[in-house]
Amino acid sequence: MSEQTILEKGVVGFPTALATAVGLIIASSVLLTATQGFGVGGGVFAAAIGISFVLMLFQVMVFSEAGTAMPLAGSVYDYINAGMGRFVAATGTIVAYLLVHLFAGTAETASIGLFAQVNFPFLESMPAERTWIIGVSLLVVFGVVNLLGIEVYGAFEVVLTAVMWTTITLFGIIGILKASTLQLDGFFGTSLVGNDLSAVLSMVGLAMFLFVGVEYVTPLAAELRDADRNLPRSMFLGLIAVAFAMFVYGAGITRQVPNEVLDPETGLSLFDTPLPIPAFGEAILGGFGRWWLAIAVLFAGAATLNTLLAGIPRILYGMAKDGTFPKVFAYLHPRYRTPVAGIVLAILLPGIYTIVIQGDIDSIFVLILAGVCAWLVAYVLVNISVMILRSIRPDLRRPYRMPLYPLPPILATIGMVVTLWFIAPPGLTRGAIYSRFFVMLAVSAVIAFVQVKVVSKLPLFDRPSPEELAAEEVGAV
Amino acid sequence: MSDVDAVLRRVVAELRPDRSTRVAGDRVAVEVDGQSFAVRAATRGRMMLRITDSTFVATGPAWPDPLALEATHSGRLHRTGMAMKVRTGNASAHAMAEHLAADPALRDAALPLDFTRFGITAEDGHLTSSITLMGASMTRMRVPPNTSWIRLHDDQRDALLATMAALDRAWATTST
Repeated sequence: MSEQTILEKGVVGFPTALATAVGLIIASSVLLTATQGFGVGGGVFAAAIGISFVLMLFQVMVFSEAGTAMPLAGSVYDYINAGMGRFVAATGTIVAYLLVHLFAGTAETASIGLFAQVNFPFLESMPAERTWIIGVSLLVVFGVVNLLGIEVYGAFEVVLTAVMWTTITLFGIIGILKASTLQLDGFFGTSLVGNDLSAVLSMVGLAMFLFVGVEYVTPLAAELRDADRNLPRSMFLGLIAVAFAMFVYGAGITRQVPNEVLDPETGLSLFDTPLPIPAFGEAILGGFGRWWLAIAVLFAGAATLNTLLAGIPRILYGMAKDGTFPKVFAYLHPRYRTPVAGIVLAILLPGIYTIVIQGDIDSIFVLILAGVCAWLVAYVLVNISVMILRSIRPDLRRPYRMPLYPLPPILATIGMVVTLWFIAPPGLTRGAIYSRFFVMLAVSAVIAFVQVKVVSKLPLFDRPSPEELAAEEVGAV
Repeated sequence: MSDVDAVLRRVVAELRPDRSTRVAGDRVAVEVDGQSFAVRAATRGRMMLRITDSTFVATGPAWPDPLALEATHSGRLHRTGMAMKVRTGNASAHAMAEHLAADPALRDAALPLDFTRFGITAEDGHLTSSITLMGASMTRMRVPPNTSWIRLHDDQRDALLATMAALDRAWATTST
């Protein structure tokens, strides 16, 4: 059998690709976002999910083309590098990576505590400012699990994704079918932010978070059997699966749980908190439903934390071996063969930050949105880069060519820019988010400049070809 | 190109082999500095984290009995030597474990090696060593979105080759 024949043999089937596309629905912060979104926006948030769905569909097409044209590279950095050069690529990657890295772990750790406190009856008496203890404890438990070299992320995540998707969908469907005692305005309830187009657009940023990470499916392209057919199919159905679960969850919870105002002075309502989750569980299946949801949400958060603890120390090990991070991070424990220093750091960063903010996610909400800005900017840069590549390298082999080109990247870019413009939800100003984003962008640009120009002594705006990138990676140049 | 393909290509390039042949979708046979072995890549995890790592598989002399050993470094904080646990096997397996654990050349060679798994088994009537390294691997994370290649650094390449050579010599001086 020739090497080419071996390479062309797909090893992953459509079900795995579909499950991968659904993926991040298991993060508990996604559930918190969906609950808040439906509470504030009702039907308006549902419309925002619809818009986000279409935008992400276009975005995923772009990523699929980039991912299959540069399969050895496979990262946002490489796509932008090939299209716009090293400096823009490094800046875009650092800003997107650092911000998300800094806040994703903290948000997940804090939200685990908040969810557990309201979901488990025996934790109800715990003050909200102490809920960080739960999240941080779980972080430490999974830290120890990873220190001992016990791998729990493999089969575990497949089961969790299936359980979470089924739970959300099942509870949502029962919530829709079960008689509602509430007077509902529309299928998803009343919007507290108005019903016009700008109200819808103001919620798209929040809704985008529900589909976060869908591009992760693209590395599977080459492993997929019949990739040309199965990749777009799995991405499309994966997005539909996420949107469907969110729609039925939103319709179910708004029909079964009244969104009461908790604090008339600040306007804080029930759906701004994690409290609707246990109430929803109770309304659907009584005490059993509450426990079911509580355990499912806890496991989901735990899986996300475990992923961070399993992945980040490996990256730090590689950086330490390369000499770009302190040497101690290359140390492996003699008996357990695990990167101890990296695992400890991966515990300490979100752990300490969660303790500092005392588990109050709202206090870093503006920074999380600044992180979403960074993510959206990285997407825009990828879209532009893919269009540049189509223009300057029409001959490049593209196993997956997006249909209707150039509409997908153009529409996705317009959508991302509009989302950036309307990024501020009610109660926050655009300037507050942008100012933090631009500070982080500037810091990232300085780091990128130093790394590219001073340390690596490379031209800032030279674009390596996709072939050069691939050759660099296998050590041919 | 899949992650397995990408990892195999990179590992083979960083091994700087005299010869290499793709023998299966997940496997390349190589000859490096006169030593023949196979590199096998596998992906673990799918949805949130994908780790594709490399296992270096060498075949030794004939061994008719069942045998499965797991090698670790010894020491509490610092590596002081090698330890061998017998997972499967009879008296001959225990004798082999003791022999390997006491081999000074193997200890010196494997001490700097950053392995995550190191197993010795009897497969198809032959002793087989399988060493999975922390390096020579690719990590993809969904959140934060990141793809990271951990190179097979020269120190690890040299330690790997020295360990395989030491194993060969140790195997040659023992019998069932």
